[in-house]
Amino acid sequence: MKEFEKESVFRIGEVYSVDGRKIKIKVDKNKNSSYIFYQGQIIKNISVGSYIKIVKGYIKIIGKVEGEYIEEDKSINLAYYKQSEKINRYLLVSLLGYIERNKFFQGIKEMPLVFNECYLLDNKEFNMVHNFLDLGEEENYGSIVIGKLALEDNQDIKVSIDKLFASHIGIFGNTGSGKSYTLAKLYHELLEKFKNNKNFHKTSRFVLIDFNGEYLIDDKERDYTIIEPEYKKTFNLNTRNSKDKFPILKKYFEDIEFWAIYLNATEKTQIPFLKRSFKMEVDFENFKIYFLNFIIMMLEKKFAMSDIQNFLEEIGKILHINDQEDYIMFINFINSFIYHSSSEVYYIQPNNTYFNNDKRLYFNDHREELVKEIKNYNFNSFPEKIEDNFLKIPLKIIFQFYNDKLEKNMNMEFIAPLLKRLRRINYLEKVIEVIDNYSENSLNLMNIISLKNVNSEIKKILPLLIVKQLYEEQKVNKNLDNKKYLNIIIDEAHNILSPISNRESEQWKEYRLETFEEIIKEGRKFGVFLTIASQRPSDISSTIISQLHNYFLHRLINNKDIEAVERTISYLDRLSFEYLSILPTGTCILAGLAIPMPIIISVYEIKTGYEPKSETIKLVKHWID
Amino acid sequence: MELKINKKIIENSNINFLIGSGASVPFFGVLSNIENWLTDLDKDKNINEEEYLLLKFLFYREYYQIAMKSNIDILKNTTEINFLRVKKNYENFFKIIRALIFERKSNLFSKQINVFTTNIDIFHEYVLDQLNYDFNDGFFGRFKPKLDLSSFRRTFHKESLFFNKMSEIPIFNIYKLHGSVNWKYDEGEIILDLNLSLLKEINKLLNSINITAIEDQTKTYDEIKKIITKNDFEILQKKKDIIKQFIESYEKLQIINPTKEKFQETVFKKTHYELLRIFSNELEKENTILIVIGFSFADEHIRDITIRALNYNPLLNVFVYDYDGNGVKHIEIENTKIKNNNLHIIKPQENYQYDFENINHDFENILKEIKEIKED
Repeated sequence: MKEFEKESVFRIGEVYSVDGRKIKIKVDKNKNSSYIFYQGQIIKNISVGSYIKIVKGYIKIIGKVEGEYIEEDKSINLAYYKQSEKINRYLLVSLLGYIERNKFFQGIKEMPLVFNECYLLDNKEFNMVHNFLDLGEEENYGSIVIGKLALEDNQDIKVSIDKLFASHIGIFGNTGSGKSYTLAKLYHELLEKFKNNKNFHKTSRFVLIDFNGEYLIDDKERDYTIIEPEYKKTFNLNTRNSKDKFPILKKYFEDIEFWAIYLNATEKTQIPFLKRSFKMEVDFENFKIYFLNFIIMMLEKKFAMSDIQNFLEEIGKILHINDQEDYIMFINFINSFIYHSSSEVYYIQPNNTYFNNDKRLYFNDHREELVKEIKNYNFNSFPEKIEDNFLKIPLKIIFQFYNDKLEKNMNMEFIAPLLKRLRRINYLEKVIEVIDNYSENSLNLMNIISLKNVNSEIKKILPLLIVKQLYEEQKVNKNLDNKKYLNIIIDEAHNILSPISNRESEQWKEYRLETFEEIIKEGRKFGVFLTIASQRPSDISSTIISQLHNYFLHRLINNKDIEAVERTISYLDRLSFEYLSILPTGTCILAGLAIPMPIIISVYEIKTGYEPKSETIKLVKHWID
Repeated sequence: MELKINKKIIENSNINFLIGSGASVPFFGVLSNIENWLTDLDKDKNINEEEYLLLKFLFYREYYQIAMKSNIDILKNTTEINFLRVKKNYENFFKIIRALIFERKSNLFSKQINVFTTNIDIFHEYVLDQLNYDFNDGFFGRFKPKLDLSSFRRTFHKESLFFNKMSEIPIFNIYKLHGSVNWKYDEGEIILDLNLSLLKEINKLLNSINITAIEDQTKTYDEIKKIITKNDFEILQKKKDIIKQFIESYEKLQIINPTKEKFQETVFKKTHYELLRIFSNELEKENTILIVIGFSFADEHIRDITIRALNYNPLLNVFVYDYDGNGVKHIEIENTKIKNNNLHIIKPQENYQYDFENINHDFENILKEIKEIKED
């Protein structure tokens, strides 16, 4: 009895036509309200976006309603009728899958026939369709809840952690559409679930690169964004006044490719020169002596006095000793050497302040004496030896530059611009520290790197340096230990993943994209996964977008962005795609490997205190007195 | 998950209310023991005619004074504080419900709201009239309005002045299941006694009789029997005619007396069963809700119909407001096993009571979700 009763409530119509994958269903006349009450529950009636069950014999085919329309029934007696009887309602349905042995499977084995009966899904079947977990995943730690179905309040969406987090994730959406919130929610839920597991701490690292500073607050003790302070390390990087520094291993710091890009080195002349410089052996242990010998060599080789001056100035700049008294005295002393053009040698005038002598001292005649004098020159501001890594590379470059000039006597005009760019290293110095080995404290479980306060050069180069290092290290680690997991999260990824940029050189662009594309393509093997969030999917390399496995798509307004998503994401059906531009804030389409079909979900709230700081400014509130 | 009344439910249902005496408290009292007294009186065999007359008088008078007398004050527009409170509750109720229906743009559900009530007071009609809302109370005609149940479920449409567009107006159907003090038997028909002439007549008769009052309503039948004094019998001897006249007039009232045998007039008996049938029919429609306010299901007719409908109509949802959370004691339907899980008892949180005012808050909150409420 009960079954018959249920059928009368749940039956909504029958198949009217089958045209390829498109099914048309004629709706029974009395089923037009938006909800149906049944046994104390309210069940959503069919509408666009909802699911429908077509029963063909013993086979239950599940379809999704993609459209509906009506035709007026002209045969109705107009004097005496019920409003709902006047119209015939038709649904356009696309097939999704079938239910067998109490489980939903994607894909179609059999097509429906005309006059097959159609039913609403009851709550049990609805749950089945929206259960994306494999057997056992639910009971154990296997899943997280990030939100609920947007069209159905009561349906929590549980996603398999294995399928979601062992994949590259893309989160796209216009600013203000809830993108950062979704990102934070995802990782908050994951970390919350495992944070007390020792193995989790041992094997996993999450690194979030945050261009806008949304994921940290200044007070580290009370920074609960995403996760409690004790589980994370924050790097609030700043190129104006140095605060935190990100640790970079020496071998990546000394990577020639990185420097070539950082210094915008040209491929033909500057890069070979850089390579020579890196090989150059400068005696940093006895730097002062090395330096003085170099000066002497310059004098011997008859450099132009202006070159020597430049050399001194450049070294002075690098070592930050330009305005020290004894440094200036040293320069004056060097300047007191005068070049005698006919005999092609340096000499010192009589009555010079530095020498109590009444005759000219020619360098070749009085070499011993002058060299001794120079070597004994006592200036304190000059370091005896150099230990700072940030000094070694520019110094090498400068020495190499003059060395080249010295030995080959070649025209160095093409190289000179490179030297000017060396001052950039000052910014780098403020945001990274060079270390020899990773220590326990170098990184925590969650690592948030804020690039809000760094200049645009660092913004471009640093994420690359960091990601490259993390990736390479993980490759090595993975070989030693198969359990290592690394998740690199990049918010506002268009900043660094754009395939087009007029401001930068081709070579840099290639290097940059190659690094990320390699992670996207090969990362999985090494347990490295990328999560990228962006408001501008059209600005991100399509290779990268198309290789992502799971997508959270928030509202996108711009046509280019929508096209980019349409072109590259194969998981999206037409209906979801059309929803893209009308999604409310906090609601997104979830599509990809983790779930059999795209669904629209409303992301649940994050516990207060853990949410990102990304609210829109309240204008009027701040303007009125 | 426990189902709560929310906008989705209001939006997608035929809406019925069942309003009991709790709604008119404190201006009118609740029935308490009167039903037992009258039942015991009918069963009592060791009683002489005079005693019987006296007790009947006492019980009728008690019921009259608790549940009927003050209706006369309503017509006089009393400013008593309790009246104003109850009136405000009724007003808010109708306003909010009407707004909820008015905002609901659906051609699938009618704009009629069925209000079933066991109250015999005139609050419903009085307040609806004051608010200038359209309602059906079952009466038809102007000079001598007669009760005709077919006049329920008339729909009201309004035509706009400009484009001749028709629009249905929300309308309340007031079904008075236990009759009403403004119903009067007249030559085989029930007619509308607009100025409560019958009540006034009864009042006049009562004023001339001065017999010991019951005072404590929790007394049992036997206890009341003991409080009758000799003096009372003397008065009875003197004023027997007036007392008989009172009982006679009282029994002309087209209301259900709180006894097991409830009817005086066969016309009213028929009407009563027709009304119950309508109640039952309404509960058998699809996507229907019944919201029960101030009613404890002590009336087994209504209880049985409701339970039957709950069991046979899985598309019905019944929501019962439990006044103070002690529903087990008060709501005689609560422990009934319903196979469809569609009976929902709404319990108040601790230190909160679901009086009429607070129930209105619930609906007001739903309305607030839908639109801004204008203060007037």
